[in-house]
Parts: sequence; C-alpha cells; structure tokens
Amino acid sequence: VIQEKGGKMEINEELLKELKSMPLEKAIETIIEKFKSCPSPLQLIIASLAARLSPEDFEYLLGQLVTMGVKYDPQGLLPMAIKESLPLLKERLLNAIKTIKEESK
Amino acid sequence: MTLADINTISTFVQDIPALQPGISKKVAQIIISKIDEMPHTQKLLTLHKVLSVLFLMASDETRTKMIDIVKSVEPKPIMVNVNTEHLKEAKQILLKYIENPPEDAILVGKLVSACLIGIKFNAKEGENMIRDFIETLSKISKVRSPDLEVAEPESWRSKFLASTLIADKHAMAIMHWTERLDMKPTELAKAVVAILEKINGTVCIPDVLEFLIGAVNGSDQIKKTIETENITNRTLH
Repeated sequence: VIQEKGGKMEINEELLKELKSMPLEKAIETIIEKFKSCPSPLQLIIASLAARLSPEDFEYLLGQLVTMGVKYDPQGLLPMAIKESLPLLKERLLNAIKTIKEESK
Repeated sequence: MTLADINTISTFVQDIPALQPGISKKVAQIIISKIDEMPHTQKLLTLHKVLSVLFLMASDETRTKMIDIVKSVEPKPIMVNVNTEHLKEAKQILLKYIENPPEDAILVGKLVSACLIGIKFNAKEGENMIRDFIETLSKISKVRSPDLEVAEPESWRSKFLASTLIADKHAMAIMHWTERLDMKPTELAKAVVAILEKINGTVCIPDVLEFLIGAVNGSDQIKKTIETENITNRTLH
C-alpha cells in the first residue's frame, strides 16, 4: 500500500526508527500486532516475511497454518489448495455438463 | 493506523534480507503464534487470506504435502451417511429446484449443500430445509454465524439449526468453486449431481471436491464418473 505525494512515499520516520532499534523478532511481533485487525495488509506482510524464510521453515510455517486452518475451518481449505488446478478442472467439468445435456435431449 | 505507518512497515519488511536458519525458524514461529492467539473469526479470515497467498508461493511438492495434511488432520470433515434411496430422492429434489433456479448464486450453493446435508436425514427433511433456506434468504440478505459452534443435534429443531450452519459452511466451499471456476452456479450444481450419481455410502462436500480433484489428476474414478455411459446416458431433466 503506497501513497505518493509529489512522487514521494509518505513514511512515518519515528516508527521506522523505532522498528530499526528493536531486535528483528521483536519488530516482527510488533508489526503483526499492529496489522492483526487488517487481514489484507497482514497477508502481504506475512507473504513478504515468508519469502525470506528458508525453504524448510517456509514448509513448516505453511504446514502449521494449514493444520490450524483445518482444525478451525475443516470445510474451507481444500478448494484453496487446488486453485492452481482450476482451469483444467473447469474444462473437464464443462465438457461433462455439455455431454450430459446433449445425451439428455 | 495511517497510510504512512503502512508504508513504513512495508518498507521495513522489504528491506529484511533472507533470514539465517535460527532466525528463520523463530520468525515462522512468531507468525504462527500471533495468528493462533487471534479471536476465532479474525483467525479464520487471516488464515484464508494468508494461506491463499502462501499456496501460490509454494512449490508443487510443498502444495502436495499440504493437501496430505488436509486429508490427515483431525477433526475429520463432517461426514454424511447416505443410503441409495435417500441419495436418489435428494438428487430429484435438487434437480427439481435447478429446473427453476434462483438467480442468487449463494442460494444455489446453499441448495446443493442443503441437499447433501438433507440426505443425512431423509429427503423430505432435506426438502424442508431447502424451502426454509429460500424463505429465510428472501427475508435476510446475510446469513452467517461463523462463531457458533455446531453441537451434536438431539431434537429436529437443533438438528435443523446444526444442519443450517454446516450447510452454510458447505455453501461457502461451493461458492469458492463457482467463483474460481467462473461457472454458472446451476452448472456446478449439475456437475455435483452427476458426481452424486456415482457416490454411495458416505459423502460430504470435501469428498465431492476431492472427487473433482481426481479429474485434474486424471484418476480412474473421475473418468468413470464423467465418461462412462452410466453418466452420459443419464436423464437430468
């Protein structure tokens, strides 16, 4: 999220100084805390952080979040997990529907 | 929080270099614990948002591992016991409503899910449930109770209320599909009916979704469902 004034991004210098003065873990805790009621910006912040994790820790993070998601919302995650496969799935379903329609005429 | 604060934090995060192993694990744990301590609804919203982007970032191998976790983790998805007779009746009810479909896509999702839930009890109760959805949704534009716990139903009323909540969740899952497949809800409903044709025993929405995933992987199961004469010769009208 960027707001530009005269081509320059507006920054809260005091907050930046504060974050830089903290150990990284503490700064990240503070950031997530600040964003906790804004899921969309939080999504981007966590994605940025996740991109900086080692591959093993990325997998660990994703695994823990998926487990949490299934625990609290068992019906909601599967469609998300397969979204990459949707175009092919759509094509096959539409073909199936077309065949059913033709055969039932 | 001001836009300047958001810009500041975005800048700060962008400037973080790749994390060394020790720190990397700690950061992952901080993210997990911070999300876990959120209130229920907020946690769900955050998980949906965060997972959708993390899945996009993940490798195929990692994504496959995650789907395995989804399949193995407790509690298991709510299962619906079906007998062939109920299945047949439920299908007829669903088709009857699809002949004159409501325009509201969410309502169609609810019809499908209500029908699937309805067959747990019997088709008549399933039909009552569908009628109730239509009446309720015509009066109320937003029906969502994500914070309510679904108790084991004892009376018909509590059974119905519980089913409504479960169906609401199922409807959300179905709507994920209509939205992401860019299909008409009635087309999706017909595809689900075609799939229901082939499912006996126990069925639930994740089963149906998993069945559909089989189409992508070219599994024998979905091929039989979609391509065999049993399905293509069905009369759905």
